[in-house]
Amino acid sequence: MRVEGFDFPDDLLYMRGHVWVGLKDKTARIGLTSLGSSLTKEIVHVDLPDNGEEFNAMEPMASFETIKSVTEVSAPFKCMVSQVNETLLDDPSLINKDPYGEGWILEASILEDSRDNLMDVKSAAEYFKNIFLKEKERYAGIYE
Amino acid sequence: MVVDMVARAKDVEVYAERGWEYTFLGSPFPAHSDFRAMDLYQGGDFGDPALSPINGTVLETMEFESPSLCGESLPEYLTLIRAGNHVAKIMHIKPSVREGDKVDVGDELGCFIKNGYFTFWVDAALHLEVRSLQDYVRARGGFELEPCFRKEAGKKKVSELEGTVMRTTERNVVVSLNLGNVVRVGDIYTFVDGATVIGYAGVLGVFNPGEGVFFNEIRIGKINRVGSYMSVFQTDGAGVYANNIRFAGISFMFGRNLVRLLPEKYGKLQLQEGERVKITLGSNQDESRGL
Repeated sequence: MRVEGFDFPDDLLYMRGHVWVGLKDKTARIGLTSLGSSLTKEIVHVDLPDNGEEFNAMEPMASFETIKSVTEVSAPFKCMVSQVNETLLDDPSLINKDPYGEGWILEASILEDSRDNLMDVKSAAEYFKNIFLKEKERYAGIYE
Repeated sequence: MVVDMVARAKDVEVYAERGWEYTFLGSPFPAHSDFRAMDLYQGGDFGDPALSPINGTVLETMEFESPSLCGESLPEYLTLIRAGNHVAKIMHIKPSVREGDKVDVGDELGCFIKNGYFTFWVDAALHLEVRSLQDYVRARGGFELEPCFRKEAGKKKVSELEGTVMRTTERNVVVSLNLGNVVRVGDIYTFVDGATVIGYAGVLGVFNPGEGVFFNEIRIGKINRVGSYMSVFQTDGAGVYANNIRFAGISFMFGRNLVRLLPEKYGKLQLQEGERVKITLGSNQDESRGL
């Protein structure tokens, strides 16, 4: 599905903080949406967790920085990190270049299955459209 | 040109001309909320020359993309000036200086720009952090700034908060108030810094978390975090009215009696330069409290 020109793949779930979650069996792959990537252009640094680290739902698991902003990636549910995308340590801009592909951030095993913090693509499209419109107001005057 | 040292960290000293305004906590970005950045408003508009607030040598200039909504390019630049063994990281200007240039306070560094790091109500400002030579690009990792401020905070209270509109643009309204930007925390009067619309603002001095912050005896928030020299307070989300026109919030410039009234939307504002305004402040709970 496309929202204001940004791609939101139908087979993914979404969190409010511009995070996508791809579920396969008992594992979740997590990354940043294309809208989130545009709002955090030129990521210059990532902090990734260690394999085996456990997180409760909504606890920050990873973070990334541009030259001015810091964004945290929260756990969608209680989970344990099984793999991190180490290529991001050398090239964090992959998150910007290919947010749904090579720019994935980490994979985690689901310890407590819950969808409380997740939206399907239809709900996400509505939610992120509102976010987009609010951002558009914030950007007023920038292009003059 | 009369300049005063207004802040320092490590071996970097930051200077401002008497007419400039500056804020440490008036921005939502983490370097500000952690007391590690300041914005200097030099009176110029976007496109106007930006002047150096420090002495040093240009180490490097870098170009980056800032956030954007539709994939378009909105450049941001780092102008990195070495002073001693540290680096001043300067943003929001397009540099005209080059690597190796020696700069003194007041020298032109480039011109003011705006991009995706700006909210519409923000005026042209130079963002500054003090960093180590090994780490000057990231958002986190700057050194805490020490405000160098020698004025006494007055204890004046007024029956009605009034002012004169000094400037009005599509972005905001600058008002000269009949009261300094001073708040009371407990029994102490001190200077306030920041904007009520970003969820937090700050005061000069270290106070106990939980203490209320009062502007002309109207509570505007409570202390929730402290640094070495300043404290952050969580704002109560007060709306502001000027001559009965509602604004989203108020922005205090550190140590000045100037405030910016921040509109809810970008566009032509109804107040005129020179107009006298009566200002009232209302919280989310009680929009009708007058000052």
